[in-house]
Amino acid sequence: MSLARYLLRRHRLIFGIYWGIMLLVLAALVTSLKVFGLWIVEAERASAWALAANVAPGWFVFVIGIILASVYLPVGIAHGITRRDFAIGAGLFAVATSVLFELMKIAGQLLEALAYNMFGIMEEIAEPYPWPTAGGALTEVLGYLGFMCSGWLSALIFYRMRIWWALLVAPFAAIPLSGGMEFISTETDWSHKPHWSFITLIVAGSVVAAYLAVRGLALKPKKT
Amino acid sequence: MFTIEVDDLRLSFGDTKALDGMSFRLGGGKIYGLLGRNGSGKTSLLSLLAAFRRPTAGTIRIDGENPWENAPLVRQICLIRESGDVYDQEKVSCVVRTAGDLRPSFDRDYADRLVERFQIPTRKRVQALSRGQKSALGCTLGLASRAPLTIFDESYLGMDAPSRYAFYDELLADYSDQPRTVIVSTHLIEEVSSLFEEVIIIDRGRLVAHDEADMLRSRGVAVTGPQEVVDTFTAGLTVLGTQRLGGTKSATVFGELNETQLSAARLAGLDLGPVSLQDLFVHLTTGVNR
Amino acid sequence: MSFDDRSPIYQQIADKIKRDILHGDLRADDQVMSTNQYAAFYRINPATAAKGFHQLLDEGYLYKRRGIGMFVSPDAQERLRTQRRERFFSDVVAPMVVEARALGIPLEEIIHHLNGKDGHVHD
Repeated sequence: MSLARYLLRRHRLIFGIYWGIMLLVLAALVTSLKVFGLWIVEAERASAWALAANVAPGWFVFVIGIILASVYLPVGIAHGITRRDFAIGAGLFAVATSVLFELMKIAGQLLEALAYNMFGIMEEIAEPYPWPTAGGALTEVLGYLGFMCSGWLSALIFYRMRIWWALLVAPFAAIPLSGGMEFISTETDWSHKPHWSFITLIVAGSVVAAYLAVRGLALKPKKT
Repeated sequence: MFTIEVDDLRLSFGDTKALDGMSFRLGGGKIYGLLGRNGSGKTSLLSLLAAFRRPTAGTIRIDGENPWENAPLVRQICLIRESGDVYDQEKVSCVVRTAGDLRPSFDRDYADRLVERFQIPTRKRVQALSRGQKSALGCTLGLASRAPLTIFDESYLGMDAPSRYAFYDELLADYSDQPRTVIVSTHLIEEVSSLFEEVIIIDRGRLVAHDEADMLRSRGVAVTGPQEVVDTFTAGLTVLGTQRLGGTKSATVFGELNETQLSAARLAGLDLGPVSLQDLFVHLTTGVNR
Repeated sequence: MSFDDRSPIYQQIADKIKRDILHGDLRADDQVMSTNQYAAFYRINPATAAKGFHQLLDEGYLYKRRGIGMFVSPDAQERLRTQRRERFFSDVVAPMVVEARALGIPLEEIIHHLNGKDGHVHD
């Protein structure tokens, strides 16, 4: 089976658990709103979900990026997959995961809106409700992709380079992540953010860097 | 059948020369033995054949092509290293499933039979396995891969004797049934040498001998007798090593003796004995003791 | 059966089969194991086993029936016997005599011993 499909199948359970937990968090938040009142208004937000679920997925996929490079890549090469094919398969998986996570986030948002309406919270909030938009969704997908690239690059830097060089170069691996942060942060005021085209460029560049980072990789012997 | 051609192959790590200009050609379709001491370059050579890394210089041609990043070729090569390239946190059953998912030629049923034969607990994580069980898992993956070029890099050394013999039996049975090119690297020579059709001996990154296993075995003669007589006889011959006990000397000669030499030895009262492949190997290669 | 280092393994295989034929363990037109079976049984490379069998085929001690297997030639035992008979005195008796001389055992004692063994020399 193709690598992308294999990776998606393997991560079914863990993605399910992650979003299961997030749903529980959502339920807890909505309940707390009902019970303790609109404490979120003090935070100048309309949506509790947006508060909780915006950045967390990014870090989760960051770790997925690390695991892809540090665990799955050596196993893939050992099973006869070229580095190029692996990078492509992992890239497809990364895009699919980013899209999937965005869809889950949107689903949560809509669930929250439903709950707000049911419990009458919607009328009480001061700020406008952050309904999902196509543009917003797309930029968030790119943001998650940036996080995954950072994880992948960090892992490869430490795998391939000697520790001191790795420490020097590693901060550069954080660049796509920062770009991603901008995309998925809850700060909706774009006026004092870098222009979206610039951030898209960073993420695109990091995808290229991720591809280049596997070329020529020598599989290290594992210690018994 | 996969031919393997290696030409002036070099691999260096900084100042260390793991492979120092190695050239040979394997016709394929046989069980090959790769013998060498620790640090002789066996693992480096095999890593290069499997495209786990790139050579510093020289060429490798497997079935006429360079294996590096060569997708159709590399999926037909399986290298099992002693330490195993599996995800440690996975359960054994998962590891086998992963191999089946990622490697097109993998035979799941065969793998399941082997796991049972080697008595590897399927529900345990790889990390929790004993060294012998890990080795057995590696051997299982190698055999079940059905890769046209399958390489075992000392992967069975962690197993106890009964398991090792089970592995040899399985290897022979599968090879007889569906021949492929198999390379087994080892230093447990006497146990495995009867499995080999051709043997390659390397030492310090260089090729030292490459011959049919039977031929190589017959290329060593131990000449024993009084010291001066032995010295006279062995003058001009390739002497790999000598041993002395009092006035008696035993010299290990490399090369076959012709009829004239054989008669001369008998006449001189010298005792001619065989040299095991193990002894030949020890004499042909250098180690820490020398 | 274990293999020693005195001669190539394929040679030892051929010699063993010849011994089996000579001693009647393998009779005329008996089928011998296939090379793969042989290899598996003795844990050796099939090509090595095949080499031993091919030597016997070339020498005519075995014959092949396509698709079925290899069989002992009808004249194999007789030919081997003749061959061994020719070499019996040089390979077996002569060394015995040399050893006896080295130990100082007179020939009469040997003959007496042989006679006493079973009454007649020929079994």
